[in-house]
Amino acid sequence: MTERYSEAVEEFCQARCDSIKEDFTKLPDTELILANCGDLSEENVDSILYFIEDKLERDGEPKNLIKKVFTVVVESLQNIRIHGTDDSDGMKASFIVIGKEVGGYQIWVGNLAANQSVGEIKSSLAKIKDLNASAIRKIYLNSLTYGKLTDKGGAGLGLLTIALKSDNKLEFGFEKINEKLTLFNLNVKVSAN
Amino acid sequence: MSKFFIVEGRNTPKINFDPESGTFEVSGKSYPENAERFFRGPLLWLNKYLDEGKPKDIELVFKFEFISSASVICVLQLLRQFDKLRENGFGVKVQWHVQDDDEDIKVTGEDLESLSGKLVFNYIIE
Repeated sequence: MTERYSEAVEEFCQARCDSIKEDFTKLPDTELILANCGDLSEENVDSILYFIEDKLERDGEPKNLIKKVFTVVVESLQNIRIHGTDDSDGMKASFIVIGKEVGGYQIWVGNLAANQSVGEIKSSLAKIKDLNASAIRKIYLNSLTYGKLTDKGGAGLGLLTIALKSDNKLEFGFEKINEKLTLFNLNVKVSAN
Repeated sequence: MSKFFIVEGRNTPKINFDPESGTFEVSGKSYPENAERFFRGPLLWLNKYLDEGKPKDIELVFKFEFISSASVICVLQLLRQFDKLRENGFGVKVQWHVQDDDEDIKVTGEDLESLSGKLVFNYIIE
């Protein structure tokens, strides 16, 4: 029973990851750089970060763009590792998709959230939604001033950093998987400018 | 008091606190998953130095290539300890290096300077 339940959760994440890949690759002038779906271990994070930095450098991307993409990927993956909920097998079912398009990159990340925490995540995102860079910087500095890392190592600055690096081009969604879990997904656009 | 030294890791900076020479350096990339755990050692060492160190002129050297948001909080905690050393009569000079015209690192330095009491940063553009 547990196995079927866990498999269904992983299949749900995989299906979402696949549909993002398919939709993106249908667009003209795009290149799929990376798609990783499944449990996100610390070793997976290391390999993804190494691959991204190396790939973008080999492609001759400007340093500031590499740094922006790297920052968004670091903060997103650490968010998944710190805040993502485990499924019934203790796996952090999640995905990350990175695609190149004209003028920049798109990054999609998804992780599990307990249904009862969806309201809290929505309200954190609502606070920064539609704000411009200087308003986000004010919140960032305030969080830094009084910020304390939680036991898990998070401080809430990650999402603000992602918003700053992407000029607040954030989109997010919630898809209920079952009576316990929801798939939270975030789409970030990073441009060269 | 003896030196505090940690070699640079895959995602952690080199830390070299040398009370004898008066140079305290943090350099490299800093994005460990659990930044609080990584920086606990140098913070504890600094707490001890606050108790035992005799006032003198010291130089803090920061040379970051990359720093994650969680690490920024920990570096701020280090800086606040150094500001306490300043209050205790130490002369504290902060050298914040900015490599390759890296605007992010410069802005991070300015943010940290604004939150680190009366410490004054000298920005070294390389």
